[in-house]
Parts: sequence; C-alpha cells; structure tokens
Amino acid sequence: MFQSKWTYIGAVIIAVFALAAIFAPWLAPYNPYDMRLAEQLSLPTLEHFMGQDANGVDIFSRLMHGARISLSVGVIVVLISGTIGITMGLVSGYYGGWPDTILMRLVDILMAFPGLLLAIALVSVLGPNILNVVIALTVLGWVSFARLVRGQVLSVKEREYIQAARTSGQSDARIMVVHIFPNILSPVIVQATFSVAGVIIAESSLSFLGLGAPPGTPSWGAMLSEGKQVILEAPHVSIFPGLAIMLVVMAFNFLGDGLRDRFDPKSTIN
Amino acid sequence: MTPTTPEKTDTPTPILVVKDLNVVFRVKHHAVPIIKNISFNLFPKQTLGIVGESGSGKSVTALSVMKLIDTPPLLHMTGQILFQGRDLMTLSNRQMQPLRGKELGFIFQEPMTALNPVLTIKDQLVEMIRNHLKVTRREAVDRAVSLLTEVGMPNPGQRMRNYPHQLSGGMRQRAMIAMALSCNPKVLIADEPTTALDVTIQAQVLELFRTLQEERQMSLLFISHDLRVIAEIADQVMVMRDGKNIESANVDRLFHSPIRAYTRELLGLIRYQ
Amino acid sequence: MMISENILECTDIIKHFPVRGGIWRKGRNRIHVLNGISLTIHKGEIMGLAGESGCGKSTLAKAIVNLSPPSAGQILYNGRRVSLDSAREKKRFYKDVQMIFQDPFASLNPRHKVGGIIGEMLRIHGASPADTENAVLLALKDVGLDSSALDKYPHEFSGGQRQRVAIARALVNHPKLLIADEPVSSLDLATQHRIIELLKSLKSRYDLTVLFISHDLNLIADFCDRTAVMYMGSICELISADQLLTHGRHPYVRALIDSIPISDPRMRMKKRTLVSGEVPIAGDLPTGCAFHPRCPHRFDPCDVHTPRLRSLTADAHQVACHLY
Repeated sequence: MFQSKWTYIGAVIIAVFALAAIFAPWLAPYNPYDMRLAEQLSLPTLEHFMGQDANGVDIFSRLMHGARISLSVGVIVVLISGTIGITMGLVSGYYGGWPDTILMRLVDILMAFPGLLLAIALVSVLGPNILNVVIALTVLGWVSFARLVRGQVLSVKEREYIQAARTSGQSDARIMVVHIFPNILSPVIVQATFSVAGVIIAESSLSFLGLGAPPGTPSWGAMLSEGKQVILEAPHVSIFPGLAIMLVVMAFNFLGDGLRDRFDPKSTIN
Repeated sequence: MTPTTPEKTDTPTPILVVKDLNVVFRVKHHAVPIIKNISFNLFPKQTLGIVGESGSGKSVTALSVMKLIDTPPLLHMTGQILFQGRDLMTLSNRQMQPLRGKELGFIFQEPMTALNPVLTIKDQLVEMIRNHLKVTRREAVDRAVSLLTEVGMPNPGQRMRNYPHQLSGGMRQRAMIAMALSCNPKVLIADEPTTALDVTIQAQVLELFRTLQEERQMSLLFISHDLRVIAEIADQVMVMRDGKNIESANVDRLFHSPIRAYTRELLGLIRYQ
Repeated sequence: MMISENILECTDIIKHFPVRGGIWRKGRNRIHVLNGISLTIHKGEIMGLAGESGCGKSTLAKAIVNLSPPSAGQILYNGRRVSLDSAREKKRFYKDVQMIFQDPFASLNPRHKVGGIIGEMLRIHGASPADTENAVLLALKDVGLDSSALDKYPHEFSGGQRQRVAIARALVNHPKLLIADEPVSSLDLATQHRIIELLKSLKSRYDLTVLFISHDLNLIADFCDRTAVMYMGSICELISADQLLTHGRHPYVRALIDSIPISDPRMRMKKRTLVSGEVPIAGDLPTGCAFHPRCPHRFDPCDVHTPRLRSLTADAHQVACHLY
C-alpha cells in the first residue's frame, strides 16, 4: 500500500492526531477550560509538558481538543465540497453544452478571487462561528473538485467501455456513478487529501483572525493568535499550536504525494 | 520468371553482426529473459526482415542494437553487437550517442509519438542534422528540403514549417524517414514503420523504402508482424517467437520451402486470407 | 412478401462536426464525415463496410447505434424510425442492437469484473440474479471461456480473450443486429483467425445479422456476404463480398486491392499501379468525385459532378464512378 516511508509517516501522524481528537475528553490530562490564573504562562513542567497559556490552561489538553475542531472542519468541509464538486463535475463533463459553459465560467470566477479574502468576507457577513467557517470554506472548496472531475470525465467518457455501457441501454446517472466515477476516483482521493490540509490551514487562519471558533474555544488558530500577544515572554504558547498545524498539514501532504505516486499508472509497472 | 534472389555472388563482410544476444528484463522482482540467443548478420545493401507476433521480442531486438532500452525494465544484456567490427555492447551510453542517428538510423512505428509535437518538422530536421554534422544552419535547412523531397513529401518547402499534428499519417512517416536519413546512416532500423498506415499509404512507403535503399545503398533492418510486408521488402528473413530465432533464411526459401512448423503456420494464416 | 426483409435501412445519412477555427470563424466551418450514405442491411446477412481510416465507417456505425446521432437522414430499424427518447425505448433498442468495439483493451471497464460486465446487460433488463448467472455462464461458454473468467478483471486476459468477453457481452441478450467495428484489427493474425471463426459459428447459432466494419479487404471477402466500400464519407462501391477482390470496379477499390502486399516474394517485381497522394486532411472535400485528385482514370466530369451509385449488372453490384 505505502510505497515510500514518507507516505507511511504521514498516515501514522494523521492516525495519532485523529485518535487524540476522538478520545480527547478521556485522554486529555486536564480540562481545556480549567483556568489557573496563578499559573498563567508557566513554562513546560513535568505536569504540564507543553506549559500553560495566558489563562493558566494546560496547552497540551487544549491542543488535543483543538484537534477535534481542526480535523473535523477539514474532513467535513472536504466531504461536503467534494460531494458537490464531484456531482457538478460529473454532470458538467458528461453532458457538456450550456450547463457546462455556465458552470465552468462560475468556477473561473471563483478561482479568480484570492480564496482566504473571500472566506474572510463571507464569514464577516454571515457572522463568525464554526458553522459559517464550514460554509465559507465549502463555497470555496467545491470548485477545485468540480474542475478536476470535469476534466477527468471528459477524457474517460470517450473511452470505448463508456460507449459500450451506453449501448447497453442503461441510464446516464448509472453510467456516471457505476462506470465513470470508479475510473476517476484515484485523482479525486489525492485531491481530497491535499484539500484537507488546505482547509485546516484556512480554518486556523480564520480562527487566528478571530473569525472562527468563538473566543475561549480550544482551536489551533485561536491559540496561535492568543500566543502572539505574549510571544516574547512565553513563546511556547504559540510554538506548540504552530507545530501541531505544521505537523498535520505536512502529514496530509505526505499522504497526498504518496497516493498520487501510487495511483499514477506508470508507477505500477515497477 | 526466376526467383528474385538478391545479387550476392561474392561473400561480403556483414556491416552488422549480432551474436548470442540475450536480453533479460526485470518484471516485478523476477528476471525474465526476453531475447534468447539471437544471432544474425546484416549485409551491406541488404534488407533483413524480422517477423513475429506481438511479444516475440522483435522490437526489443531492434532497440537492443541501438542500445535504447532503459535500465528499469532492462536487467542485463549479453552477447556481441558488432557494427563495422566495433562491439557496441562495450560502449557507454555517451559513446553510443554519436552513432545513433548518424551511423544507425531508427524509424518508429508511430511517428505521432516519435516526433516532438511542439517543434516544426524543419526545426527537428535541422537540429538532427546539426547535431551530427558540422554545417551552418543555412546548409542544414537546404539539406532538410532536399531530404523531404527525396522521401516524396509534397510541397517540402511549405510542409516543413508544419507541426507534426498538421500532417497526415503518411506525411508524418515520410518526415520521420527523412530524419532517420538526415545523416546518411549506413544502417536503417525500421520498427513496424508501416503498421500504423493505411494500406494505400503502406504501399507507397514500402515503395519509398525500396527506392531509397537502391539509391543510398543502405542496409535495412525491417521489423514487422506482417509476413506479407516482409515478402515485399526483405532479402533475408528471421522468424521470431518468444524471444527465440525460429527460422532464418533467404526470403524466397522461407516463403517457398519453410522448414519449421511455426513458419508454416504463420504462412498458412496469410494464405488463408 | 419479400424474400429478404430489411432489418436496417439508412437513407441519406449526413454527419458533420463543427470546427472551432479560432474566435473569428467559430461555428462556420464543418467537417463533413458522412456525405449522404444510403445502406440497406437484409435480415440474416453479414454486411461488410470497408475503407481506410477517416473514411467515416466508424462514424456510420456510431450513428446507427445512436452513440453519435446523424446530422440529417433517416435510420429505420425493422421499418421503424429509431427513437431513444425514453428509457424504455432505449432498453428495447439496445436489447436488439449491439456493438463490438475495435480495442478490447479499451472497451471493457477496467474496474469491473467480467461477470459484472456481462451480467450488467441482463440486470438492466430486470433479470434475476440466478437467471443472470446462468445466462452469463452460457454466453461465456459460447465464446470459449469458462466460469473462472467471472471473477477476473479485464487486465488479467489477453487481447483475444478480452475480445471474447466483449463478444459475450454483446450477445448475452440475444440481439438481432450486431455491429462489429474492426473487431479483430488490434489482434495478432492467429488470434484474428480464431475470433473470425468464432463469429462465424455464433452468427448462425444466434441467428444474427452483422454489420462488419474492417479496413482489411481480405477479411471482408472471407467473412461477409455483401460489402460496401467507403471513401471520404460516401459509398463508392457495393458488391457481393466474394466478388470484391476479383470484380471490384471503382478505381479506388482497385487501388485498395492493388495496395495489399502480396505474400510471395517472387511476385514482388510485378508492381501494380499505386495511387499517389493521400486522403485530404479533414474538411477539404474535393468538388465532384471525392477521389478524383488521386484517380489515375479521371476525365472531364470527375471534378465537377459527384457520381451516384449506379447498378452495373442485374445483381446488386453498384459503383459510383463516371467510368461506368
């Protein structure tokens, strides 16, 4: 399954973070809201091995709970935007004609905006909370899936096995789902993996700007933002969430690269 | 009336000698022999046809002579490839480069993939010529025009400014042949050069090969899966199957009194049609 | 009562594709691929369709099975106009009319197992799992494969075996009309021979009518009853297949026959007249007879008037040439 050790390392890191996120309520050593103002900004110790933040909360526990937000936003946004984008791309590529033209111009327009700015604008209008972050990132995210899938469909639909399927008398929907989709799944999975990384960064950025999780919620971006104010006297407050974001994003990129190599037909010749 | 045996009264020295060629590929961690003990001689001004079904190793044989097989599939290669007495087997890739194109021309089956799609025919011909010969660009262009004329390209001056996709299949193969001929190679290796062409164009290209060989006194190593094409062009024939030499003979002998059952079987298939 | 019923009648089929020639010429140019083809196929016959690449023979096949409907003209199947607007009409038509494609490496879905590929044809028409399995096994047996093929993917088979799978898929619903588009041209000669023998035996067992498309005149002469030869989107000759090689009259058909390599080195020097030039690149249809720029026999009317198919003899031999 894994051809290079980097893919493997990526998968292991993701698995560790995912387990930490799922079991955070039971595994985290402290309550992520438990303020101990007397111990604020204390450096890593044996009890709090990542130290404590400006409110004296255990940073390690907050990071574990923050992983729930980052990873679930990443996965949920990619699932929803992927579903929308794949459907749009399939229909657009398969039928062509004016719906295709309209859809692709829409994609061009959305791609022309700087993504994060558009997300900031959307969240500002809708109101800053996690649900609206998900909505904003979904609005941005489906585009890349639609474009990728459409391109793949255009090449696959001319293959003779699709024409053979058409001469069997089955419906267009069935041809798209049963015959075309499995043949374009590999690049879609690769794209999804990279997208999760992108969404995690975007969510962190929005939270960093105060547009994501409400104040006080354990979120990596928000933690980074809080740490920024005390970065000189207590750098550990920002270093650990920063490292967490970096590690997860890197892990997803390793996995994406590895999957891409694996799905590349040329790599199977060996 | 009489069989058209090639004029070969004296026994000339062969220009290309392949002796005990063995080629082994690595397929999924296994060593798989692809070419097994192939030996043949190619004489000056003659055509050796290699014929076999797909997977018989005929193309690998052609590529081995040029030492054009990449090392990922290739595990090892033994034997001798003597070109004018020089053993190509011992040459490095770097030492082979001046020979490829200049002494040994190569023509691929599918000119669409063998020609560079983003360069015009003129660019590709001029580059090829100037790679091997010390000529000015001007001289190279003139030479390109005369080569295209020689291979029967219609409107060569105009056509050479086209990109490969703007040419028909037959014109592309003519351009490919012009490139292979550009440095006057002594040996031309053609791997299924007419297979991708329609039958009327195939007939024209075969005629072209005959004319060119006559005028240029070249040796031709002609690979084909089609015995009928081999009957049209070859002086000597080698029948291959599973990387082995099944039967080699003079073309007339091979078609009229084949010895091996496999050769008779192949002949039976074309006679049935 | 007619002796031979017509299973398929194509009348004046025209197919053109728009060419995008840059911003300024958008939609103006068209490539004419089929220029008024009329072809009738009788029930039970094997009709050959010959011609070189780009002559439109595959386009005609795709027009007939509605994969790429014609721009103009009429196609009657069993005397009725083909309409595939509803799912029901689609199912009914494709139960009767099936196609085999040229490249068995491309015509089988690489992600589906053989059992699924063939079985799908039946399940679409509502067959039960048990019936499906029986019918699939029977079809596999008919094409010379056994039940071990069911759980394999297409890439586990050789080219010839894949083409057998494709034939089983086409025949599993017992169609009436089989359209075979160059079904053996990507295979080795020995495999070609075996697949043709298989098609011959299946033709009578399944009581098929076949439209057999090939560039190989020898194959057509061997396998078909009648044949049409196409050049640049028109039929230039219609002749009974066993007379094709000996009695073909159209200069293009003669050129095709003369271009076939002779499998005897002693005959090599008896060179035939070869046609010069090539088929013009798409779109540039010559005026008059499409073949006249390459024709060794062209005379006055050829570059002005388009010749129509005319009967030469009492039988069905027709040629579109001003010489006759």
